[in-house]
Amino acid sequence: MGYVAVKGGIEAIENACSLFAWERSKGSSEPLDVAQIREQLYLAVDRVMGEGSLYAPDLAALALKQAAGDSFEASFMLRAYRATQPRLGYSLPVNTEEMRIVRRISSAFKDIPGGQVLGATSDYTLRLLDFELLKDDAARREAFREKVFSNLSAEAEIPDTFPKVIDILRREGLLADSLPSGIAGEPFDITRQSLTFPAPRSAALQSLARGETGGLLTLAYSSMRGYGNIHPTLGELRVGYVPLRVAHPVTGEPYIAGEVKVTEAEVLARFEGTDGIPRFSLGYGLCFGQNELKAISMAVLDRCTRTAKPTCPAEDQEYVLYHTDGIEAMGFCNHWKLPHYVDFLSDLDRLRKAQKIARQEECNANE
Amino acid sequence: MQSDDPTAAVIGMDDAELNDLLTLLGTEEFQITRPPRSGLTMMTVTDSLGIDFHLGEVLTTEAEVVLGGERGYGLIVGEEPRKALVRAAADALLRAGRPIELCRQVRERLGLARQRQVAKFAEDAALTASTRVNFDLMPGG
Repeated sequence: MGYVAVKGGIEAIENACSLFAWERSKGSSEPLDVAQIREQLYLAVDRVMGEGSLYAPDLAALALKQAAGDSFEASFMLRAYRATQPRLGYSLPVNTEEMRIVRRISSAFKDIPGGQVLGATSDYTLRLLDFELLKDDAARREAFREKVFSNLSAEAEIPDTFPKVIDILRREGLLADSLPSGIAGEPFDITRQSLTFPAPRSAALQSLARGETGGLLTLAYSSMRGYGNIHPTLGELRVGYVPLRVAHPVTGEPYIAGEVKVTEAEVLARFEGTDGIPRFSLGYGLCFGQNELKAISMAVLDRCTRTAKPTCPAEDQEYVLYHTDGIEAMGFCNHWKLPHYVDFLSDLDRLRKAQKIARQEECNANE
Repeated sequence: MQSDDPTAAVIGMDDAELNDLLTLLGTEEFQITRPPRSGLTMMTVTDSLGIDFHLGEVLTTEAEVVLGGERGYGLIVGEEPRKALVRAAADALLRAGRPIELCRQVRERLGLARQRQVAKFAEDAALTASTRVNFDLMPGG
């Protein structure tokens, strides 16, 4: 059989692209407005921003609409979009202690300074379908609004900022804070430099922060189930808004450009210090938007990958960082759909030859 | 979101407030040295071990103007060309400090917008506060 290189199919490809756009618009329902997606499917928007590594709620909502709800495709579009935009600059480092909190809980202490604030969460729902939502209209919404606001108590107040739960442990000398020397300094930027291993902490955190939620969860879950030796406690989980602050180009003063919603998780795991004194060590997770599974998984994996002697995939930094980027993973998986006619033909040739040889040998042995 | 910069109030302005401010500022001859353009600001954060890292990029819009030799800068999260320009103009004007009457009016508008935003934040905070847990200790514990 000869060489089977092919070309063509342009018309079919163009029609397939149109057909995809038609498929999501051919129904009888009203077209989805981007604002509806941004406001009513905000957790999907948050996930796409985090995995696309671009904080742009309107564009993330548009990407979800264009991708017919596929979060991988939508994140990919955001990543592609960022490549078309100039880098205006870097922000000043923000400390998450100044977060404007909308949710904050600790599984380590019952009483924490500022209190446990549940915020908007589906954690305590029974996961039963709410058929009332089938009749979601303006009147229902207004009644719901009244109900929510009538529950407000005049005395209920929350502070502007909350102290960190881990500071309690830090004050008592129960937290191992020292990191190996030589890792501070200018943060690594994985959008400008290729990752090398062992990756500096800043590069590892940047990679995990744009990791795919499912991928991070899978590896973190493997550790939680026992493939590894980390037994984490959730010290604190917070969701809220942090300011994006740059240096004013004229005055040099800190200058706030707006707010960014983030989720932060801190996990604690027992650790034997180099001085032989046992302490807790910290795993840290932070990502765009409200995505608690991702922040917790990231924190667990941050802690896992700092294990001195890795014993399982979740503790191997290279394994974790190379397999949790959703865009790269989907790209590689999707590439199998491209024509591999030549590769496969070569496989076929070799298989036929090998079969022929094996049969010949069988014949020879039988004679 | 605490800020000493009065122009930060432009961030949360609604269309009416923005138009109002734009009309006021339109009475002066600003030189637009950098028309509004969108781009990326890499957000850097400090983790709980004191290490700085890049969380990801934020879509932002920036603009620059000059008024009476004073440079004004505007940077706003999101695709917000009008806000970036208005903020840059207000920045230049307030630093130049004149015309005095216009500065007073612009400060007043910014103050009113700020007040409305603070009230909105307070309402959000009250909703959040309603979800604070009050634990009851179980008997025998």
